[in-house]
Amino acid sequence: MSLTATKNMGTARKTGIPRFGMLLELSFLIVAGTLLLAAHSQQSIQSLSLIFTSIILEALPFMLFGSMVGGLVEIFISRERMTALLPKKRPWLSVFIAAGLGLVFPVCECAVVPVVRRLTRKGLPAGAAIAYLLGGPIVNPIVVASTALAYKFDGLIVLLRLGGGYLIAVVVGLGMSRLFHADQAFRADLRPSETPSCHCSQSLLAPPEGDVRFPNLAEAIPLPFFHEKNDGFSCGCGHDHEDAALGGKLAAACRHAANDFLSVGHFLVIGAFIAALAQTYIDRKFFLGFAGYFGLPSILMMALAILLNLCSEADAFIAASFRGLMPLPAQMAFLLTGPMFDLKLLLMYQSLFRKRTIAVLSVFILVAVLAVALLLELVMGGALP
Amino acid sequence: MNSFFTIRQEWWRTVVFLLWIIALVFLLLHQRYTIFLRSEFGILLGLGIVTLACFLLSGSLVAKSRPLGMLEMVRGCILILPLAYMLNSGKQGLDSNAFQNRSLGLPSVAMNTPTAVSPGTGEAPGLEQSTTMGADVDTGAEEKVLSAPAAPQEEVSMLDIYMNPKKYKGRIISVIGMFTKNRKVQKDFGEKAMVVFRFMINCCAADAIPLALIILESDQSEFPDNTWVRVRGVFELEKKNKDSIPVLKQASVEETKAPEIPYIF
Repeated sequence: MSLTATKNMGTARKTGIPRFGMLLELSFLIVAGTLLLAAHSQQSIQSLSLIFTSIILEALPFMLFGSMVGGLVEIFISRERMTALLPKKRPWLSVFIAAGLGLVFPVCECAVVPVVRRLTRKGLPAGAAIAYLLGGPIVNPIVVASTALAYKFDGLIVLLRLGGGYLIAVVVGLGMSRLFHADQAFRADLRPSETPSCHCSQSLLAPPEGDVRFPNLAEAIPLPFFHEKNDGFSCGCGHDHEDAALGGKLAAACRHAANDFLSVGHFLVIGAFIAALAQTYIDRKFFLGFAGYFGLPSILMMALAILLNLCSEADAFIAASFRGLMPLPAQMAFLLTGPMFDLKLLLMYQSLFRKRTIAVLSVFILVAVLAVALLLELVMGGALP
Repeated sequence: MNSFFTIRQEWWRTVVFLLWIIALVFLLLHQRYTIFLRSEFGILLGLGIVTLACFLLSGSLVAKSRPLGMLEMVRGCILILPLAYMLNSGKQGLDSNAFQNRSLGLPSVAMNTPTAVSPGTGEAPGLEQSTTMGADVDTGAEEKVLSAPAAPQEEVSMLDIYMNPKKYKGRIISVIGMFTKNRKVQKDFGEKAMVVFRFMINCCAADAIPLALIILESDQSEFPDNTWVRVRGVFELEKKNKDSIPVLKQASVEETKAPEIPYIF
């Protein structure tokens, strides 16, 4: 085993997060595998197989395209260019702009975390950083396309999702900027510094060997799946993208995209499996009971979004599968919660914020999403569509 | 244990991508993906294959790679897991098991507008834009069709019936669907009542909505569940509470070949 790999594994053991995560993932694999082997001929398992595969096949292309766009953005768009778009002297205005920045720089919620880390180090105001963090994964063209397709080009749902996502990103961004200064909100190692420019997010996960500026960085979040060998370049991914030829940049973009996909893909599989289990074994009449209570369907769907850890580029298909089961405001609660707050993001936010910030941010997000869902329920009613 | 760790990351990543590419190519070439998705998704799957191929090639350009760790191995297996479930999906799509779970009561059609539908699980957005098979759904043509003499027998789709129930009322029609018996239906329409159903999907099987007709007064009553049948009979609308329930009377049921695409869109 190489020295770097040994160090990475050591880091993983120290944090406890990957080990616990791996245990959960291994448990899922064993349960799902055993279920298939033991009862593959049962009618219900065949239905489960069909629904599970359907969700995966439907979401997969979007996940792949999203990863590819993320990879291209990582390589071809410099963070200086992104930061230049924001008016630093008027933080409130930068919050409004940053919340919609996903339209220009489309990234999913997993890819946005490392991007925000880089922007933060460049001196981006806390409110703007949080607004982009929350708004970017919803207010972006890939999510618009997937939501439109999942809901059969229902413009109202697309608008509600975009509008709701933007509104929540702005409100939470402004609120957080009132409560926290950047120094208080972000981890100490994210203070603006003269770090060398690099578009590769993976330096954040595996800092260059011997780099003492970010001593705890690698401990914050699990190591990415199939991360390439860190051989000392500034970004840690093993390639100097700045000076590379176009072909080399494209190849690097593909590698980043592949890594992103492999790092997040298993969350989609686990989420789709849970959704398929619910679809196969829970009688839809069961959901009718929830639909009758004000706010309860929204809370239930928010909880589901937190548990499912779905990618924002694919979650619309899961939400759409709840049509006829849950009222539209509850589906919207699902669509707004997942890209901003779920179990995997909770882990990833630890690489950005202090614990207190995470606690306040979590409450802000959940309250804001619930408020939007309840408002929609008041306006549209809670009846099943 | 040492030999386990000598597996390189790039090999494993190649295996994961390659298996997915093979699976997607197979699904596309044999049109098997239509069991899971709308046929329009074929283009997206094709683009997905291209993207995966790019990932695969870009990975092969990496000269140095790390040995494979347990975490990567587990995550790779999770990514391959759907392929195992895919093999277990069967060939005929959703069946009576899904029909039972997704029905919220008796099937009913909405009578207030010619294009409305209430198949027991809620109306599907965008339904009015759906394609139909074998019947005219132009609302402007409705009056004309109603006044025209009834054809002895018409092959119509379940979706068409749900969209234009008035058009077919009192006419002899022929419908293809899956056969099942349903306790709720038997409770309301008697022990001999049967159901023929199909699923309408918006995107994939996960969002499938069952459309069903109740068969009354049939000449043949015994088929195993999930048998594809062709039912001929007189289409009527039975009133139950405030709902209009689509039924076929004086029906004859015969086994038939499964359609190439089990769903209707």
